[in-house]
Amino acid sequence: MSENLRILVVDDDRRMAKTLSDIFSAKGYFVGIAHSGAEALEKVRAAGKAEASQFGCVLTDVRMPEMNGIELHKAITEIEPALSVVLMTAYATDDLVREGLERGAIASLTKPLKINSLLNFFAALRKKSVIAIVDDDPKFCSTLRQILWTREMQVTIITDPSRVVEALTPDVQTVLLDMKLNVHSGLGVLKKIRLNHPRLPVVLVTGYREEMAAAIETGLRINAYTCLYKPVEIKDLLKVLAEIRHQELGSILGRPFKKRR
Amino acid sequence: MKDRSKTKEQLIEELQKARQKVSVLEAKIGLQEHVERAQAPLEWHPPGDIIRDTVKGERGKPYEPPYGDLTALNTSHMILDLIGKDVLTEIVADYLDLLETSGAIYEINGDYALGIFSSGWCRLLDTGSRKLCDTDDNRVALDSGKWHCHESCWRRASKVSIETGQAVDIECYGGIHLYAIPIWAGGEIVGSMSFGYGDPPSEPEKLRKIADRYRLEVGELLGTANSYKSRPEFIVDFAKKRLHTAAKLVGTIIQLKPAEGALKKWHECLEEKVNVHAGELTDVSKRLEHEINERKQMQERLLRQERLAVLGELAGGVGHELRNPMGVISNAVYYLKTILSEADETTREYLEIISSEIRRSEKIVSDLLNLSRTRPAEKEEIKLPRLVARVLEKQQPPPWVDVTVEMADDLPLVLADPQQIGQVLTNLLSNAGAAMPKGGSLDIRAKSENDSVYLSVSDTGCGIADEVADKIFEPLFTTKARGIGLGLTVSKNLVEVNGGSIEVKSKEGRGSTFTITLPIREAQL
Repeated sequence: MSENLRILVVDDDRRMAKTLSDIFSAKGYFVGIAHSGAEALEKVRAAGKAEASQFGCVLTDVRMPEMNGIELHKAITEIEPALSVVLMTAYATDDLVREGLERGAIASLTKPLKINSLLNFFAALRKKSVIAIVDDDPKFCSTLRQILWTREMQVTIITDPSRVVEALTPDVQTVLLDMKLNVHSGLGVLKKIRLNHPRLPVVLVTGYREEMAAAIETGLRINAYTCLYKPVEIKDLLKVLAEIRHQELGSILGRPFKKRR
Repeated sequence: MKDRSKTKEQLIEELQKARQKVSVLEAKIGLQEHVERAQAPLEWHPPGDIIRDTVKGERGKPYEPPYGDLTALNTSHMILDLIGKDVLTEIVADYLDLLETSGAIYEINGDYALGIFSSGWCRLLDTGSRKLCDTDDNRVALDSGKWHCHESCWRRASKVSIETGQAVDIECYGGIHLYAIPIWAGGEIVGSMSFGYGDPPSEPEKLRKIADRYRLEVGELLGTANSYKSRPEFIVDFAKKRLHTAAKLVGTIIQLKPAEGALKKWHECLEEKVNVHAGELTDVSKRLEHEINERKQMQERLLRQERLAVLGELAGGVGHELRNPMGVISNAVYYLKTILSEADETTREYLEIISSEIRRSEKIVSDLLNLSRTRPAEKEEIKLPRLVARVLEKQQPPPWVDVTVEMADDLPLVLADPQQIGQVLTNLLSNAGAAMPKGGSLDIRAKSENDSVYLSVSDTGCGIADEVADKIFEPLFTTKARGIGLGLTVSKNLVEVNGGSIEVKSKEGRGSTFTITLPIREAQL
C-alpha cells in the first residue's frame, strides 16, 4: 500500500463528488472522481496498471443509474480484490446496502457523511496493520514476522510475557497470543491485556487443543477473538487477520465489531 | 088503510134496509173509532230526556234517593263494573224516557246495578216503604221484606224473570205494572232489568189500600197519582220492545267483556313480549353498538396505519431526496471550515450555525425515514449504563436541568440494537429538556424485574394533559411549537422492533415519566 492514499469518489451527483473530492484533497489525499459505475471501473482498471497509481479506497454512492454501487463493488473485487470499498447512501435501510456489506464492503455511510470519521478511516487505512506476537518460541515468531511482512503488515514480537502490557504500543491492532507459554499461563496474559486494552482483538494460538480446551474456552469468554491451532495454517491466519482489519476499519465508520466464534 | 096495505114482505124489506143502514153506520163508527185510535199516538209526544236530566243533572238537580245509592251495596260487580253506571243510565234512559216511572237493573244475585225513580208516584212510594223498614242500613232494609217497592221490583218481578228465564208482567204493590225480563249473555242469565208502567190507580178503594200498606196519606197519593201523564198503550209496547233491546245490548256487552278482558290480557302479554323483544333488541343493539365501536376503532387504526404508510412513503421519498443536497451542503461547510481555519470569528460562527442546522435537519429526516421504514433491529448485548452515558454525552440536557442517573447494580445485559435504543433515549431526553424550560429534575433510572429491564426517563416539566395522553405516540401529534410530531412515534416503533414497549405516566403540570421495557438477553434467563 502506498504511503499516499489514493481515493476514488464515485457519485452521479456531481456536487457530492466534487465537495468530497475537494475536502479529501485539502486533507492531503489524492482523489479521483467518477460519475458512474463504468467510469469508476475504468479508472480502477487504469490505475491498477502501476502500483504507484493504485487506489487504496473507493467511496461510492449506491444508487446510480446503469451500474449501481453494489454492481461496481462486485466488478472491482474481480480486478482488485484487496481494494477497500465504502458505500454511501441516502437510504437508511436498503437491501442493496445489506448485500454490499455481505460482499465485503467495509461500511455503508448515510448521507450527509460524517467527514471526520471518514478521515479517521482513511488514516487507519493508510497505516499498515501492526500485529503483536506473544510467543516464547523465537523460531515461530521470526517465521511469522517474515510472512506478515510480505503482506504489508508490521510485526512486534513479545517473547517476555511478563512485559506484555508495556510492550503493547498503542498502534498495535491485533495480538497473537500463544496459550502455552513456559512460565506464564496464556490465560493470565490475556487477562492482563484485557485489563489495559479491553477492546484489543486477541487471537489465541495453541498446539495443545485438548489440554488447553478449558483455558481457551475461558479466553474466548473474556473476549478473545478466536483460537488458531498449531501448526498454524498461514492461509487461516491471514484470513483471520484480514477479517480483524476489515472489522477495525468498519468500526471506525460506525459498524459494530463482532467477535468470531 | 094505506099503511095496512103494506105487505109483510115490504116490511121485512124495510127492516133489512134499516139493518143495512145500521151496519153501515156501525161500520162508520168503527172506522171512526179506529181512526181516532190511530190518531191518538200522534197526539202524544215523549216528554224528553227525563232520565238523563234527572240522573245527570244537566237540567235541574238529579234525583238522589234520600237513603243513598243502592249500587254501593253491589258485591257482584258484574253488570255494574263491566258496563259502568254511566252507560247503564244511558241505556235505561232510552226506554224509561217513554214511561217516566221507575226502572231497575239487577245483578244475578239481586244486587242493584242501577235503580231509577223518575216519577213522583214511584219516588213517593219507594221512599215511603223505605221508611217502613225503620233502619239506616240499606242492606238490612232490603232484606227486611218491608221495602215494598224493592219487594215488588226484585222479589216478585226480576227475581222471577231470572228464575224462569221469561218476561214477567205483574201489578206491583204500588198499583202500577212492573215488567221485568232476564238479561242473557252467552246463553246464561246474568241479571234482570225492569220498569214500571201504567197509570197510578185513581179508584178510592185502591188508593186507600195502598195508603194503608205504605202508611201514606190518601190525599197525597191522589195528588201524585193525578200528576202522572197517562201513556198510550203503544208507548208501553214500544218501551217493552226497547227494554228487550236494552237487555240484549247489556247482555252482549257483558258477553263481549270477557273477550275484551282476554284481548286486554293478550295485549298485555303482547306488550310484555314486545318488551322482552325490545329488551333483546336493546341487547342486540348494544352488542351492535359495541361491535360498531370496535370496528370503528379498528377502522381508525387501519386508517392511521394507512395514513402512516402514505405519510411514510412520502416522508421516505422526501427524506431521501433531501439527504443528497444536505450531504452536499454539509460537505461544502466542512470544506470551508477546513480551508477557513484562520477566518474571523463571525465567519466561523456562521459556518458552525450552518453545521448545526444541518444536523437538525438530518434529525428530522432520520425521523421521517425511520417512520417510513423502521430498520430491523441489529441486536447485540448492551450495557445500559454505558449506553445512557454515551447518549447523555451527545444529548446534553440544558444546564438548568438537574440530571440524576440511577442504574440498578444487578442490571443485566439487554439484547437490543444500541443505535436504535440510543435514538429513543435521545428523543426522550430531548423531550424532557423541552418540557422544563425553567429548570427541573431529570431522572434516568434502570432496574430489572422478572424477564424485563425497565429504563425510565422522568421529568418535572409541564406534563401531558389527560385528553391528549392517548395521542402522543401518534404521528404528527405534537404539543411543541416547533417539530412535526414524529419523535415519539418513531421511538415507539424503534422500541417495538426491539421486542420492547414504551409507556407514559404523566400529570399535567407535574411532569412525565416514560418507561421503556426491554426483554433481558435470553442467555441470562
